[in-house]
Parts: sequence; C-alpha cells; structure tokens
Amino acid sequence: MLRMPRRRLLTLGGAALIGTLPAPRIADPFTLGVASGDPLPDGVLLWTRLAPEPLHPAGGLPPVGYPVEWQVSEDERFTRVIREGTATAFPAYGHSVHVDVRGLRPGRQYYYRFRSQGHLSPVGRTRTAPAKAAAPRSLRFAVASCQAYTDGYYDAWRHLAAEELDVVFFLGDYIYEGAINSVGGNRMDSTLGLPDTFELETDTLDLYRMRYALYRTDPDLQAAHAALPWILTWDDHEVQDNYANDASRFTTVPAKDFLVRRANAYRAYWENQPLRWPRQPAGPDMSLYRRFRFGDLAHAYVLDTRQYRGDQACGDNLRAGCDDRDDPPRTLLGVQQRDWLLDRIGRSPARWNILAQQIMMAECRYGGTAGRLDMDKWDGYAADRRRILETAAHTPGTVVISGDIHNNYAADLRVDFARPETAAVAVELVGTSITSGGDGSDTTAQLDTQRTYNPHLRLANGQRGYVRCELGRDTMRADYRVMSEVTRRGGTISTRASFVSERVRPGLVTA
Amino acid sequence: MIRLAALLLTVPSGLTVPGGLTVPGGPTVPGGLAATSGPASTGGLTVEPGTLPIMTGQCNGRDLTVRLTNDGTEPIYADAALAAPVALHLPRSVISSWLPPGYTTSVPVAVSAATGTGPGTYHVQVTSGKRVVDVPVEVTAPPADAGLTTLASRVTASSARATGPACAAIDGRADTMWNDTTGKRWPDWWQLDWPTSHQVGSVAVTTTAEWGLRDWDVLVAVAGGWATVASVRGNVAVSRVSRFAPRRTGAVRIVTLAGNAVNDQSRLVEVVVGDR
Repeated sequence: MLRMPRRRLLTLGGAALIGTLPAPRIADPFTLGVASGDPLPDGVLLWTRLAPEPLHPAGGLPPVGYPVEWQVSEDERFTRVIREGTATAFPAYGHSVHVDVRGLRPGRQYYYRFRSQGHLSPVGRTRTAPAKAAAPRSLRFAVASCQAYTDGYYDAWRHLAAEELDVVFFLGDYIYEGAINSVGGNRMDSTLGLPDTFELETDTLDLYRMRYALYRTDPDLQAAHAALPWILTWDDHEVQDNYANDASRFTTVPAKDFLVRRANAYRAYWENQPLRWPRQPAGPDMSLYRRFRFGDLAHAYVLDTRQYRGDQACGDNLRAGCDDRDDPPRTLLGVQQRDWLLDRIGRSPARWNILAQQIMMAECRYGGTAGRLDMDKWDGYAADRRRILETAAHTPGTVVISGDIHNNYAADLRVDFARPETAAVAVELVGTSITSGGDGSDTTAQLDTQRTYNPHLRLANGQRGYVRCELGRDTMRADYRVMSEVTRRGGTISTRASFVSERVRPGLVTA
Repeated sequence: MIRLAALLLTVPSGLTVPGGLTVPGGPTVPGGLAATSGPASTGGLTVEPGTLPIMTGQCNGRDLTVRLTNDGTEPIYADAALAAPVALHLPRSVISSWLPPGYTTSVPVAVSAATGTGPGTYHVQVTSGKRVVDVPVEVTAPPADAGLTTLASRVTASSARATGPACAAIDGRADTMWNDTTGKRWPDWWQLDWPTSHQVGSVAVTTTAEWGLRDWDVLVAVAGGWATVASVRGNVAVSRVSRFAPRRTGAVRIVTLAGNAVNDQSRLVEVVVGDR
C-alpha cells in the first residue's frame, strides 16, 4: 500500500513542487479512469487525467498542478510493488498524467494505480512486450476503431475487456467532432443532461478536451483501458471528417486556419491517450507513426494516414474513372513515413509484420459494374499501396489491420486486384466499429454487391464489434466478434466468422 | 521553461519536460469597466460587438466574437474565460487555442436570455491573462407584434448537427438550416414552444432544392399529447404552406418522414408559423 500520509501532499514541499498556490481539496479526480499503452519489453506508459467534474471545461480544477503518486505492482493487491513515484498533473496539459515506467520485466503482467489528494484510482492491468530476443508462441490482440458516443453504448468494450488478450490496437476515430445533444444522441440517456457546450463542433482545445472527457466517463470504455495496454493511432474524426494533411474538408477554410484546429486536436489527443512525452505535438505537427516489437514473433508498424497525405483525388467521395488516384507522386503516408515503412518491413526479421493503420487497403468497388472507388481510402492512393504490397510480396507474414469504414471485411491482398488468379501477398482484417453506425445488420444489399464484385473479399458484415486475432509461429487466426445491438445497453457478443492464414502462404481460409 | 506571457495564459509548445504553471487566481474580473460602442479591445483580446442587444427567447440571442491574437514571435497556447450572470446563457465559459506567431483566432459565442428574463443591461466579461473586456448585453422582450417564431421560448429537435442547430430553422436566413444527425433513419422531429398559447393556422416550410423534405406531418400540442393538423406527402417544392383550422396551442411540432433523392436527412431551412 502507499504509505504517504494523505495530507502530506498539501505540505510546503508538495506545493513548492508545483507552484506557489496550494492545491485545494478536491472531489474524486479519477472520473476518467486509468490507461496504459505503447508496451515495450522493459516498460509501459501509464495514463490518467484528474477531473473531479469531468464535463467542466477544466475538469473542475483550478489552474494549478497536482502531485499524483503512482505504483506498479506484480500483484493485484499491491503487496509486491516494484516501481513507484510521483508525477504532476499540470493544467497546461489538461491535468493529464503520463508516466513512462521503465525497469519492468519483459512479457509480464503488472498492475498499476494512482493516488492524488487522498483519492485512489481504479486499478489497471497491463503487460510488457516480450524481450527482443524472445520467441513467443503467440500474440493475442484485438482490432478496434470508431466509437461514436452518440451512436450507441460501449458494451463491445466490456466484452473485449473479458477476452484473453495481450494488447488492443485502436485504429482511429476515438472521438467524433460533431454535436452531441443532452441525451447523448441515440443513447437516449435522459440521465446524462449534457450541457449545450457539447452541441458545438470541436475546434478549440477546450472543446476537444471536453469531448475526450465525455467519452472517457463511459464505464465500459474505462474497463477496456484498465484491462490491457492499448496501441493507438488516429483517423480523421479526432480532428475533422475526411481532412487531409492541412486541408479541411471544407475548401473555403485556408490551410493556416485549419492547422490551428489540427494543433488543438493533436494536443488534446496526446493529453488524453497513453502516449509518451516525446510524442506530444509541436503545434500542428505530431509524430505518431512508430514500431513495436513482440520478440521475434511480430513487429507492429503503427501508421498515420492522415497527417501527411495528399488531398483526396477527384474531389473525394466515390469516383469511377479517376486517373489522378494512380498518379505516382500521390502519397497517403508521405514520403518520409512511407520510406521508413518500406525500409523496415523490407528487412524485418520478424515472422509477422502487422501494419496497424486506419483505412481499408484492399480495393473495394462500389455500385457493381459502376466500379466506384473511395478516394479517401487506399483506393485513392494506388501508387503508395502498390509499393507496400510489392514489398509485402517479399516479406512473409504481412497482416494489415484497418478500421474507419464501420464494416467487417476480410480480404486477400494482391499487388494487382484485377488479377484474382495471382497469389495473395498479404491479408487484411478490417475491423468494424465499436458503435459508429448504430446497430447495423449482418448484411446489406451494398455489402452483398461488394462481395460479388470484389472477389478478394472473404467477408463483408455490417454489425458492430471488433476482431480478435492470434498470431502463432506459422498461422494466424482471426475471429470477427459482433454485437447483437448497441443502441440499448446489454448487447451480447458472438463470433460471426473465423479465418486462418498461413504465414508463408497468405490467404484467408474459413476456420 | 513555463512562462506567463504578457498577453495570455501561455505555455510554449514542444516542451519535453513540463514545469508548473501558476496563474493569477481564477476568472475574477474588475467591475465597472466602461463600455464602448465599437469593438471592445484590450491588447490581443478583442470582443465584438462592443455592446450586444438581444431579445429574450432561446433563438433570439446573438453572437459575440472573441478574438485572441498572438503578437509574439513564438507559438503560444492562449486561454480566455467568459463570465456572465445567470440571466444570460453562454454555451461555453472557456476558449483555449494554439496560436502561431501573428495569428488571430476568432471564436463566435452565442449569448441568449431565456423568455421571462427581466429587461435590462447585463454584462459578459471576457478575461485573458490580466486582460478583461466587458460587454454590456441589453436584454429586451420581443415586441408584442413580433412573429410567432420570434415569440418562441424554446426550439428543440430530435437531433441536430453542430452546423445545423434547431434555431437555424427560424433565423430568417436562406443559407442556414436545421439538419438532423440520424442519416437515413426516420422519423425526425423539430419543435417550437411558446410560454403561453397562441392561435395557429398555418405552417410554412422551406426545405432545400436538392435532397429536400418529401413527407412530413404538422402537429400541435393538445392536452395530454399531440394532434396532427396537416400532412404533406410527395413534396418536391422548396416551399410548402400547410393551412388548417386555426386553433390555440402552446407548441408546434414538425415530424419529418422522408426526403427526396438520397432520403438521408431532414433539411429544414425555414419555418414560419402563422395565426391563420
């Protein structure tokens, strides 16, 4: 147990640490839960944010810093505490706390908690990555994305928290920027009573901070964060729907104005996610692409397909006959990130290489014979996709995981999708949304048509949920977990489809 | 490395190790500041207009525009706090933004006063660092001969986009509209309430030329519920007037049932309620 007396934090020493004003007593500040992320063999990032009044612009705190004690233990009862310390929750960072714990043992489960102003946080569970030289038998992870608060309840997160997993990959659209009414949209929760501040579209830092706070008050989301480490990347809605680099979705907005909004959004994103200090943005720029190693079994490349991309071709949306999408200089990743990725996976020693990113990589034709392609997806950046898939053709064990589209898809990836007789070079698991899009349905006429006109798609499903995946030494298995409903509490989960793929001979086969 | 800029509460971007930030206590502001008729300005904080006349009613408010400027040579994060008496409603009390050097951000803040608020002058105070701008807000009741929509105390909807609030359907502007958020899910509804009952005999709906409303019902509040007084089906026109036997009621609701073309959203550009 923590031995520091509760009141000691208010002594001169504590106050001197954080500034000239003594920190007043506050109500329970751990209303937003705890989280861990970006696991390394020797450490993990621990996160929390103090907010006794979570829906208040400043979380109900005055503009002073608060000391926050933290502990990491080998057991849930904290009888074997192996690391502890004190961080400071600064108002300039929305009273968030990011603790980069090091000195842990690889491939081990740990428990952590925080304490501030006499209040103890919920206990979180996390796990370090295996040692660099280890040869793990398996890696178990989930693929999740797109959790529009207004579209339903987060029971999927509650089910995910009960799974036996090593890590969650969250692939974007953690928040949505649009209006939320007093009852939380389709949640229709009359007990919420949200202030009309939430009806404003997020564009300034205070509004983005409040939006994250609202999302993080959800108990099921908190449970999922507390259950295991997350590795996150963003998509568009963390800033604005379908933005591209410095281009707003509205062409009337100058880049210099949009970059101010992007800076506010990126800052709030960093404050509210378990990301290390060096990741924090410098104005509108934030480096989020990175690599994680899970022994010799898997390397995960977490990508950013929003910040560096060229503007969508042919005016965005679904287009047929858009030659610009094939323009060789057109890039989704930006030259620097793309070359980094190609270099790393081209000489990767890992048995599996996971490309954790936002948008569907497989070609996906809409409208049957009309053959429309989505200019916001990899289909709008064909040259970059070809470069990656050509590299994957020489790199056994490439698995692309994706989100964004609010459908489950399972796809074989080919260098040339027009030649279905050629061998697949990789597989893609497109995970559906946690809530975005509402209850959904097993299939729709559009999904049926897509299956017909995109023969490389092995599954097209329109329910909510996530993908549970296990990488073995030679085989991958993916279970598509789908929710019965999300617009009412208590939705149940089941496995809609399962696939396996061999490392050296990629191609999804029904399990 | 943490510093207080002369202008605003600031923290330079790109810090690798944060320090403490201490600011003068809270949003306490001095009173009795002189109002100006033009833009109210102090240093890099500007608020327009200098005085704000509004009528009571949820949708009869007006915007203040708060401008924060970074006059320095380094990027900053700037904060402004907005304070107002309970008689006034502001949807936000804080504005925080990153500002590159030389940049001014302009943030509209809607100021309204509920129906029944006593006429008089109230004050919104905007504080940024040590700078304070006081904006007198002159509140009056709508004139007795105001239109029925102006007399509304409350306007609500089943859902609304940030860019298409419920009030946009009675703002007299052709370039704004109420827009629901539940794509391809019907019905939706939009509702106007009065503090007392009024005679109502017509409801004129303006929708959009493209993807406009096709089917809707007009309802009026009755004891214990609603009564449908008009139905529109198969509409393809931009504007459509529903007339019905005049009756007294405290609220009108439009239940939207379908749209044209993609049939995705409710688009209500303007509603005019007439007494006959």
